[in-house]
Amino acid sequence: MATETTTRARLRWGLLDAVVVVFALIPVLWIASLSFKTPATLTDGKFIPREWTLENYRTIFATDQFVRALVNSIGIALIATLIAVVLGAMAAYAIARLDFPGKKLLVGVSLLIAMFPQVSLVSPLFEIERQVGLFDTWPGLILPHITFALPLAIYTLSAFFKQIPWDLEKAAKMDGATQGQAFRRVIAPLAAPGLFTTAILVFIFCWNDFLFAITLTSTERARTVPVALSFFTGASQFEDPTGAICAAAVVITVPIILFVLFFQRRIVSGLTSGAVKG
Amino acid sequence: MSERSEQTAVRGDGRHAAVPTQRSRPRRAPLSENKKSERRLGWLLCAPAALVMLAVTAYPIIYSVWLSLQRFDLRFPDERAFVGLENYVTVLSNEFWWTAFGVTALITVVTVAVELALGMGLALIMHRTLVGRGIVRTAALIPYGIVTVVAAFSWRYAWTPGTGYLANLFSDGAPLTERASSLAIIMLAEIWKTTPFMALLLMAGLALVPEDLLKAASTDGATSWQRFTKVMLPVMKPAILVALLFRTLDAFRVFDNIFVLTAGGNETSSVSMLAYNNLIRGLNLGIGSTMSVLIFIAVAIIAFVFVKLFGTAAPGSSDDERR
Amino acid sequence: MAEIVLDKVSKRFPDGTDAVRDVDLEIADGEFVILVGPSGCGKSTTLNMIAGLEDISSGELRIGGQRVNDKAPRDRDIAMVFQSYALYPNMTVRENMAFPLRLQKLDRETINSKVEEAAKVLELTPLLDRKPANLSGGQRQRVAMGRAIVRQPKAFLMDEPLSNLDAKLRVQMRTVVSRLQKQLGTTTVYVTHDQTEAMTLGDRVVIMRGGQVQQVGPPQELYDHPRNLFVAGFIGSPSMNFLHAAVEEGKLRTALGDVPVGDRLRRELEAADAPRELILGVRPEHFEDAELVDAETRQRGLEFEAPVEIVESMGSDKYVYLTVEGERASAAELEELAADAGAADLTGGGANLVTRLSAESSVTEGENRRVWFNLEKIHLFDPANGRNLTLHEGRAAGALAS
Repeated sequence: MATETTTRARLRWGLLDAVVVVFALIPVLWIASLSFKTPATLTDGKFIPREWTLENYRTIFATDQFVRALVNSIGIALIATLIAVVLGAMAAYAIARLDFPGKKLLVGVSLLIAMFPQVSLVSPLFEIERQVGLFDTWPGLILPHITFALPLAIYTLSAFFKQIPWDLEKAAKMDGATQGQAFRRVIAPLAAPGLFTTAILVFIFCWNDFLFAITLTSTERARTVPVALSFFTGASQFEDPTGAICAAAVVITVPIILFVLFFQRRIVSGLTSGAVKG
Repeated sequence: MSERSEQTAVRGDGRHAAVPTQRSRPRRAPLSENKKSERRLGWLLCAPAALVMLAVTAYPIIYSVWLSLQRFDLRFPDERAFVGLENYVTVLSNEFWWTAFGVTALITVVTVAVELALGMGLALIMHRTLVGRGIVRTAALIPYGIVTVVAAFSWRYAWTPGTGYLANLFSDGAPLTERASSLAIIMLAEIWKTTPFMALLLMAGLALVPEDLLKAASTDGATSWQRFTKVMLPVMKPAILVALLFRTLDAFRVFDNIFVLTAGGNETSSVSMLAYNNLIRGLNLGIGSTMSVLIFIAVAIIAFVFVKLFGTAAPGSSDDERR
Repeated sequence: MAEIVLDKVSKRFPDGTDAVRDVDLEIADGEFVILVGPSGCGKSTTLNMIAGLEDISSGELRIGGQRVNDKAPRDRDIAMVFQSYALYPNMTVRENMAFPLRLQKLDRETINSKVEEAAKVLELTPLLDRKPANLSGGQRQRVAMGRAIVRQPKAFLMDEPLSNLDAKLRVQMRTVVSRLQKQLGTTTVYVTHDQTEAMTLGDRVVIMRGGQVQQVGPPQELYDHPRNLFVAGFIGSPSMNFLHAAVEEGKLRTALGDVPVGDRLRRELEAADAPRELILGVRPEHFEDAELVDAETRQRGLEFEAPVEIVESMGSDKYVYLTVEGERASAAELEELAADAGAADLTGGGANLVTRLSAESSVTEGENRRVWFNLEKIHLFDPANGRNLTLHEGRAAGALAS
């Protein structure tokens, strides 16, 4: 009898799980489906393609427009992530481990920035960047990306750093290690997962940005994929760009899906540890 | 007392003649070397992050206040002039602004409310499910990770007559060309994208509810609904407030979805969309900056109300001191 | 191997608080010394100063005759066992234990043989290739010890090493620590807040309160001859009973009856600045069921009658809780001790006595019972400064001494 109720409970949970999974995946599967459709079947409204083709992918990788945007997206996101994680780690270490006046202020300011309406910066940054020559360049996008990624990085990293048992540092010193050895051989290996998780979160954030990318760029020099997507016109004027847009969308979605598949647990802990402290 | 004992300690042992000179230094400066270097290191480590954040936010927002007080249209750069509050009058008496403001407020309220309910359900499922916990969590993370523009395109094509599976399902009209249905789709897209984030924050709150507390409540005779409202919700309150605050401010910035789904047509512009249009399409820096400042003020008011209403529950105050 | 000398060592934090004040302590080579006291008494700070993990604000620390105030921990050649064990989670047990040796740049073979040897002593050999996460609490504790002994340091410092273990394991590990220390003969400083550990482990015990040493001595001496109220209340489990006592006409009026006073104490109480109110202290085992006391012994004590609240039979003897009328003793020290035990707000009416009576006693709950207590073993304290008035040249002599 007990087994019967648990079977029923499992079934109920299974059903709920299925609803969640379907709800989460349908838009993704739909755009993937569109990207594999031939131009002839594109407007048939069927969820599963009747004829499969890779033509759309061939098209986008043949256009300079998309390849340039992809390079921009990857380059800008990687550089911004690297800088944000390094700066964030420095600040987070100070917040988690050191006692100094102004610490609370820094935490408060970074929180404010996390909630800052980015659109409020669009007009002044547009003007400032045009004046100093950063408009439509990589650094012109990297800077605002770093700024808005930093609060995220500081929060998650300081939560991670607070969890590191710092007794270990003392223990290493007692065992005869210098400050440098204690950091290299004991603390760094423990901090690595936190840094890695933060890097993924920051990368997702930069990868996702649309507002800055569309206002602070004007040409292929620095335009990222999300922006390029919205300007896609297809190979010729008369061609429907839908298939190409979908193929490009799938291409920039794949890395995110891989991150999520491989690092699900870490992403969850990273996202929540920074926001809610126990 | 301590001062005196230190002196006797020195006087009492004449062998360490070198010690008093060493020790007189910290007496003049109240902080020990160690402490001072800790402070210096703290500032040094935080400085780069703080400088970048301030340079890219504080200075531009001040600059944008300055710009908002000028007539400044890039198409007519010669007519640039200081006009005081004229831009504010223009914007605040403009019906497009108020329509956009209404749309933004509507989207914010509806999406945050729905997300809270759905997110709570999703959090409960992720936290308590007996089967496939890993799969559910992974699936729920996907909307969070997907580029908003990609998701927006997916929704757009889903509702495009002919192409879309959803459009064919519901009606023969074109939902993205009518105001009400467009807004509904925009909200659907927003909710799909951000419910997982809400759920994750709430799940972290759920994890803080001690199992024993729930067991105690059920032995005390509480029904599962009572356990939820009387035991879980109060413990989760800080997590809920943090999630609400973050999501409200985030929802107020809605831009990507509208840009792709309707481009602001049929009076579906949000304030962000309107500011963008004035700036990039209209190249009117004065009006664009005025809107930037107004949006900043609106967000500041929302944040202030949250913090005031919920007092110490606001994040940042939970920052625990060392020791 | 070396002796450790603390010469007027003080620690002042930047916010002005004195964590440790003028601690003088000489720890002989091979001695096992316990630092004990309630939380915040400065015992851990003292240990950290010996370790070199905290700066010494003033005073001098010598290890093996050498001033080490300004030496980094790694130049002091001492090992430490932490309360949290502080095992490196990314290393196996073997690597954890080898870590200090590898930092000394010893060759692989020496390291291996030393680690194996230490592992054998602590029965860790089968666990050598596991990660700390896969060990039980007791095993982790032993690895932490292993890492300390493996390099044969001048001294061991232990910071509440057993407090994260469950009660049974703690008793077991206590003997392990004790045996190990005797076997190795290494100078050991051990910090604990548990008075049982303090009593059972050390050659000498240092009791601290508010950053100052209260009393130093072998455990039995601290138990029998506490210098002040704080030491008396801290050492012993169940702890000493304290009752209010009023000085009236050469006698002490207490809830247990009028206590007669010997000549020596009388002289002291007749002094102009002598306190009018005292605190009477009686250890639980100095009570006895009046029925079981023979006539000769009876003369050395006093009898009273009180309602029996609870009887706990331990087999070997009985803990009997009595309710007595009258005021509860009050002093800053007692409040601090109660707060440390977490019972500061448990104030019933009247006073409760914990007594330890013979197992043969036929005492039952709810009855009124005549109970005797030994006047030669009682202590009297000045509530103002906590001083033990019955102490004469370091020995407690009860109320009757002449």
